[in-house]
Amino acid sequence: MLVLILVLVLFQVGVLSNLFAFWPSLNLILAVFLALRFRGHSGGVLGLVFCVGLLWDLFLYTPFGLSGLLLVLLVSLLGFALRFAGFNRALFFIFSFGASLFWRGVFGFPHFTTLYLVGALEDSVLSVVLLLTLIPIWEKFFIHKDLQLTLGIW
Amino acid sequence: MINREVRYIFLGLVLVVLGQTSPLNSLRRQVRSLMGPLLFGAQRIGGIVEEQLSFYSSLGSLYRENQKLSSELITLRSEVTELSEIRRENELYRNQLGLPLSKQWRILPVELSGYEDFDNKSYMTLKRGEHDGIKPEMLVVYQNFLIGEVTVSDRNMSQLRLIFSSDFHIPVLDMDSPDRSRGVARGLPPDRLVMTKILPEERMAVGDVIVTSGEGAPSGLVLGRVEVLAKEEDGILRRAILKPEVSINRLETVFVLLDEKSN
Repeated sequence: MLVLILVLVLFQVGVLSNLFAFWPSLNLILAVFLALRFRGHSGGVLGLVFCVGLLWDLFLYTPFGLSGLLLVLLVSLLGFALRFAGFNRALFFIFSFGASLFWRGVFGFPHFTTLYLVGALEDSVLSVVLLLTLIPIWEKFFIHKDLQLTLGIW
Repeated sequence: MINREVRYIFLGLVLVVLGQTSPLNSLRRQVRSLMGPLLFGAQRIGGIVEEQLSFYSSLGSLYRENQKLSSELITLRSEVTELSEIRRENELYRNQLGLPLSKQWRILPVELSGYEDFDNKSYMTLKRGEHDGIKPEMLVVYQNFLIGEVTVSDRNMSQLRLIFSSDFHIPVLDMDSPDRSRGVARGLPPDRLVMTKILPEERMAVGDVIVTSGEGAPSGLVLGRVEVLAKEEDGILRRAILKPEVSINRLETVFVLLDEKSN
């Protein structure tokens, strides 16, 4: 598990941070875990996302624990929202957009540019793509769930 | 599940608060330094991946630019062919007329400043000097008009003797005369030149254009037009007063002919 977290963070820090122009670049981690939460994976997801956030703070000079705290908050909030609204695709997309914007706003405070909006839109599209493709494939091969590329929610 | 979420959130808050304290900061620095090599490796990999992606993403624009440059190359080749033909004809005519072949010059634009006129000698200052390759006796032109010659050159400034300075002289010929009459043009202050010792049989007329003859200087540089034709004091030979075509005192930038490269 620790190795997985380390690999995830190093991938984010080393590779993806060179490809995504808009800081912060933990946005992929956020998109992945929101999609996982939407798919119903809850317990392990929280622990994993918290550890990823902590490790991320080790590499950056952000306040230690802040990334983990924010990631857990956002994933938990999605869980709360789904409990009340059900597995709603529009809700997921809007929440992903809002979460990414909030994430960028916290780390970019007090500056705000329109690039944040573009970045948040990209992250929400990314979440949807992950939800429809990679995560079902992962579930099929690693937790032996039946492959459901559409989830039945569209 | 809610308890777990609350626990993680609480833990996060505690860590954020504790993270401001020195012991945890110190531990953080040590862990970061241990992770340093891994981080460095990951960023190197990221850099390589980005380079490859940039290369592939730019293939489309490179292709379009390549097409555009190929088209321009074809056009330029065509123009070069035409110019080569024109040059060949030019050399042929020059040979026919007995004129020296044209030579290519390096020209240096230089700003003018200052005007001095004393004892009928007219000079201006050039704002460049030896540092830029300017040497005495180099000619100074504006378009195809001769302006003067460099007399003295310092590191960053030079002195320009104007063509109507009393101490200026240069071999010339009348390019409009059927005889292509030759002579020497000298400066005639304040703003004219004079071509002296013209033989009576040489056919010159008012309005003829006088150019450098190519003796000791590039040929074809215009000095002026014949304004007045008069007899010399001896009554036999003639002299022509030349009026320069360019208002030299209105010029701001001129060009020094640095050296020649023969064809």
